Amino acid sequence: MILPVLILVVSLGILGNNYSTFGDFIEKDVSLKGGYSVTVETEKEFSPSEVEDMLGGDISVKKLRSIATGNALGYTIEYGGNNIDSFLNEVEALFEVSEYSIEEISPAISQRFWEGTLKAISVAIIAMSLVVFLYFRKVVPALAIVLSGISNIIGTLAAISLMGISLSASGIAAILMLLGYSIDSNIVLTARVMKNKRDSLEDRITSAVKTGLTMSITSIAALTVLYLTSTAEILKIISLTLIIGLLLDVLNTWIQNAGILRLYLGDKK
Amino acid sequence: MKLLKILSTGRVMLLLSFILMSFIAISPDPWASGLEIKGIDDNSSAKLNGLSIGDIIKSVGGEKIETFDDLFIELDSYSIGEIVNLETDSGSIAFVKESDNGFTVKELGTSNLKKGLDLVGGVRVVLRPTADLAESDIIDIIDLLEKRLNVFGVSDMSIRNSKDLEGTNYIIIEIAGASREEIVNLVSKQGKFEAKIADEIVFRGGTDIKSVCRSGECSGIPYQNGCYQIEENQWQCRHQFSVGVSTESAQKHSDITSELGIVGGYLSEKLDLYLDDELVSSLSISENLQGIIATTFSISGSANGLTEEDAIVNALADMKEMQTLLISGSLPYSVEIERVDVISASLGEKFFGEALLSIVLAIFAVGGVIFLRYRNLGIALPMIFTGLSEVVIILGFAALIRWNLDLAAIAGIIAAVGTGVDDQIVITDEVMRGKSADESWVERMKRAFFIIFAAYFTMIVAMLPLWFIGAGVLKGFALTTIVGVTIGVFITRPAFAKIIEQLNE
Repeated sequence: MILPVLILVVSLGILGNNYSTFGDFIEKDVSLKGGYSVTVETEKEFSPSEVEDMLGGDISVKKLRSIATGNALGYTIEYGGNNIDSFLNEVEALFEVSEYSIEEISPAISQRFWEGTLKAISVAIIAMSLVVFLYFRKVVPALAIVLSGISNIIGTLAAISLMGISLSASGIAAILMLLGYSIDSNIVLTARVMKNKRDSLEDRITSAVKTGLTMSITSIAALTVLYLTSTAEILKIISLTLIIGLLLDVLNTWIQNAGILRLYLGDKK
Repeated sequence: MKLLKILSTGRVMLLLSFILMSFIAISPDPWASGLEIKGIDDNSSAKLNGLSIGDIIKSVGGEKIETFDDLFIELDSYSIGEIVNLETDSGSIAFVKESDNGFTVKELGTSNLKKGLDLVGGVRVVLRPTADLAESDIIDIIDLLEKRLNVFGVSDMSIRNSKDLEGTNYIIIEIAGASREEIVNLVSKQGKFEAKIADEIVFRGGTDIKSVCRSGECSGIPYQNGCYQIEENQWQCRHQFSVGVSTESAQKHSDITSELGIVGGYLSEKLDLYLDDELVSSLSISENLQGIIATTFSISGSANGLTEEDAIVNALADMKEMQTLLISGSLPYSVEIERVDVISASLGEKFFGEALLSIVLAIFAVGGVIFLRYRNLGIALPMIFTGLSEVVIILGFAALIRWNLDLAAIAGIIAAVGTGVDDQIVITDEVMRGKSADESWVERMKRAFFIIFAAYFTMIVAMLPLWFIGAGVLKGFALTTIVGVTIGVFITRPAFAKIIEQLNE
């Protein structure tokens, strides 16, 4: 029980520290804060910092690599300045390309998107809590499920932030998927423990752990394959976020939530 | 025998028929080649002679046509006025070659799946009206934008309205294969065009304009004094084109000009042209036009470039934009650009096949883990089969409702198949556990589906809010996930339960 609580506290500390240093609890990419993102397809080899030096200005560079060969497939460059036309000319000259993808997002829409997202996640959590409560009709187990889902999100956000990945629109999709998965495994645990009256509590928890771990391991295996084989940024971000989240979920469900249920059912006896 | 028994159960038959229907909906045809008519101009000779949208071009003048290059090389070999014989899948037609072919084509798809913009490349613009508008005003803006893009020569586009949780309206325009500058300029301008003399409006764009000349005889860059060099590396070209205006506007011209004085052969006031309240050009009016009921006006503007060629290209682009705005008229309200995405086609192409391959590989990885856990092919193989059939049915559904598959939708497929695997593990454990505890099948399934439905409802309520945020960026994700888990819970997972029960009896 100590480990999940410790992780939650440390995660909150990381997010809180982010908030006090740059005013938001997680760093956001252009899709959530506004600006430009240019993706160039090229086989030219540079390191991201070389590109940053050559182009100069307020930019950050990500390199896309082929998993099979390790060669460059292209670069995604986020640009925070306000002279996009001359910047694009520099990009064209550096990579010798005429075709590339650009995302241009006004700060106003990204601000609204971010606010909408926070609302959507809150609404989702409340609606899920309601469903879980209606299902089990017991306050403590329902709260334990929701608590596990929330600690999972917080832990994952903190881990992402530590890895220096900024949150994007696809990251938000991943966070909501994660919420679904984590509630899934908790429902398996709670249903097995609450609905089966025949076996002993420990047997019930053990059987749930077996099913739940199989679920997590298959999901992690599938997501690892997805992470390794895809080059599309959105799929990479989603798979990476989910892998981190599912690993945390193992702790949150089988140590934290199982612990809570043990205490809860033990008290009742 | 066992196989036959499994196939004949109701649930499995339902699953098989859904897979079959999905294949019909997708109707994959990897060997499809040819060009389909995508758009056709109303007054073109080709249209008048019976060519219609959806026809598939077989040959031109007896030469077989398979690619864009085939078609354009063949069509370019005719000179204007010659008769072109075109063979299509619905018969043969003959039409007169004009300066413009009068139709646009697209390559025949290899299936009914529609790929979203981030998989085929193109431009997406998100606009926000600057005022709070009613639904009907938004529809007016959308109609006008559609007309404007049509006039400009874009026929394959999607314009839709989207509302976020706060009730802010957005207009989302997606055009495959277009370039950034021209589209952004065209859709972000309100396009309020006014021609004034002495600050009085003579005519406006839209309703007052009866015709706009777009052919070479009365539009283009004048041969004489059309272009000149301003300084080193700076050229300027002037374009002009004539427009016909309504009789009321012609009368207004007569009324206003009759009261003006004459200075050196010209009237004392000029004809000032404004676009979105900005003066774009100011033309002197010759004295012999005083008091005339003029129905034809010459409109002009200019553009700069580094070289003379650049300036010509820019001036002609400027002219086309102005002509388009004049014909389609002004938007009732101004709009602001909130987001522009330009997706390069070559990047997009790669993603689609690759993403589907990744999903299939991921499903096989799941099968591998499952085999290691249960040491039983009778569980691992049905699991792989169920996962793959969920992908096929989701794609079939997407083809049926003509849903655009974008990367977000592919992420949704992953989410759906992922929860599917989780559910199947729950089913498997209940089936195997119940077998040793000697419980009835119904009892075991009741327990498994109790968990599955709890997970299903929580997933749905988590996805619904996503529908409404960020001008619909994640709508595709939410929809595919919801559709996918629904198909899973009601069709594929019950069938899976039956299959492993029969196989592991």
